[in-house]
Amino acid sequence: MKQWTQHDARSNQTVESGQFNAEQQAARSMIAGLDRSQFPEGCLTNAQVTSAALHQCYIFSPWDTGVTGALGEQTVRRAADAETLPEQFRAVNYQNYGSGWITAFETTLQPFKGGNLLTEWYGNCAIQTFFNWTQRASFIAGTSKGVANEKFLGLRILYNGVVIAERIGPAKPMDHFSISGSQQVPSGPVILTLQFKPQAAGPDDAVQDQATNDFICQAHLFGNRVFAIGRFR
Amino acid sequence: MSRIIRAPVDAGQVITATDLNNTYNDYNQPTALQADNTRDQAFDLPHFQNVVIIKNTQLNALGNTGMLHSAPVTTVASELAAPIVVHPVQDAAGTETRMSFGANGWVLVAGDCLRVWWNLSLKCYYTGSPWDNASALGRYNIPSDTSPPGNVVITDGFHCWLAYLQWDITSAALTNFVAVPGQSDPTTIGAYEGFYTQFLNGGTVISPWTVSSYAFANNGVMPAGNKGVGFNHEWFAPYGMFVHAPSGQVTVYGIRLVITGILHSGHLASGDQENVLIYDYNVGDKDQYIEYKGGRISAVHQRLA
Repeated sequence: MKQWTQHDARSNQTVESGQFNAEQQAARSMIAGLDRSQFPEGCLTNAQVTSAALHQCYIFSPWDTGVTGALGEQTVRRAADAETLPEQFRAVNYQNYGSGWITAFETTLQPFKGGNLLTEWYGNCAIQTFFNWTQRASFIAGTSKGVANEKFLGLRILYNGVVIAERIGPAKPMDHFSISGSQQVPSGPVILTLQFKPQAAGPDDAVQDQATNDFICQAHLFGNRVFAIGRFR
Repeated sequence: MSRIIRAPVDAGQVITATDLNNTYNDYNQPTALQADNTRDQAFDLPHFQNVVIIKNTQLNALGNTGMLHSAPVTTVASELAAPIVVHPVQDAAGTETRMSFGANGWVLVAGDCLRVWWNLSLKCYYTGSPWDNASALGRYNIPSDTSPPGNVVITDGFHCWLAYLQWDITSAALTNFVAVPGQSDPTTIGAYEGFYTQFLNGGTVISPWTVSSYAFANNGVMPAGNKGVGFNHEWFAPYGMFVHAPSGQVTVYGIRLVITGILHSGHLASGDQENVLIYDYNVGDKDQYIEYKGGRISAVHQRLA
């Protein structure tokens, strides 16, 4: 057990300044060095701690930062090059997308005092699945061409650029999804990045409407909401 | 109290035990045990006299109880025309299975947040090829494999049901449910009814079917007259999450899940060409419906920090 005092002060005792300052510095040092094992159970109240001392929630619902005007959507593919059929979302098509991960949302979480960071990401998506099984991407016994053309949507969560959770993701044409993950993170602002990955065009995919030449919507995220909680110990 | 600052004693200054004891009393003040005066890792939850994060929790059943998909199940049919009536999730007797927080409700204040999760076991039914009805949304053209190339009309498959959360912040009578913040009820969008995708904060889309080229597509074309093959997703369990941090006091008396459909994707023809979900009455028929069984809805009322 650490010592609280260097000596006992009696009433009307006169001490030298050096003696007093040593005592004060020692006391402060001891308090600053208190370990959690030195506190008895139930000795503290909420009034004694400041906000965010133990935990901090971060809510982006709908997400509205990181990507301009996102409003719960990934709008990085809602620009002019995202023109699709009128009855489809303006979204990822095979004119504006080849392959790879797309950042849908990015923000900085602060204050973050170091500890466990849990992130829950829920949302909806549209995926063009009609061509998930074609002649050159066939898995029928005896006629298989061995070409995969699966139309799922990959999802992943990154903290400070490091992937902490990843999943294959939804595969129905209009689907919902969730992905969550947690990791111990050092103190300091944490960059939270959410990415998705549509699948590249297969060998037999149609990419545009024959009559209008409008591109076909391939993938889109919408109705997204994110909750993160940092727990500091 | 914030940072403790007490000046050191100067040489030659006469002090007493009171001065010394004051240094200890510094730490007895409210909020003295904070990051400025102690290190962050000094405290843990057991050191506190009460739970510091969670204020309320509740779990309720949705739909009918039981694990089997056999009767009784409850159904919700596709909308055939406006006005739209959303279907509250209920049991086989028609009684809403909603979350009630009692006479006093849950009082959310600034600095709190409400988190809700739900899941529901269901199966979507359809008859024939409703996605191929003459006026169904989402039909488009690709070449046929004939010479010279003809035309094949196929579907993009972007039809969906929508399940979303409503809450009652009026009274414990639970007769005034409205969409949760960030989520809209059905609204007029030009010539259609539906939802702007930016207001789907409490919504989950549910795919009613999937249509595949079924190994027929070849180099971007389909055999003449072949529009692919539809598949039923069979039983699965959609889910959703909602989270909200009010800026002022709100008393929540109840939460319920509603289902509506069938909708299809689209975007506005002008302006910012915002994306929307719109009702497709062209596929609406009583042969298109959902059977659902049981599920759960849970809620947590907690502090933000």
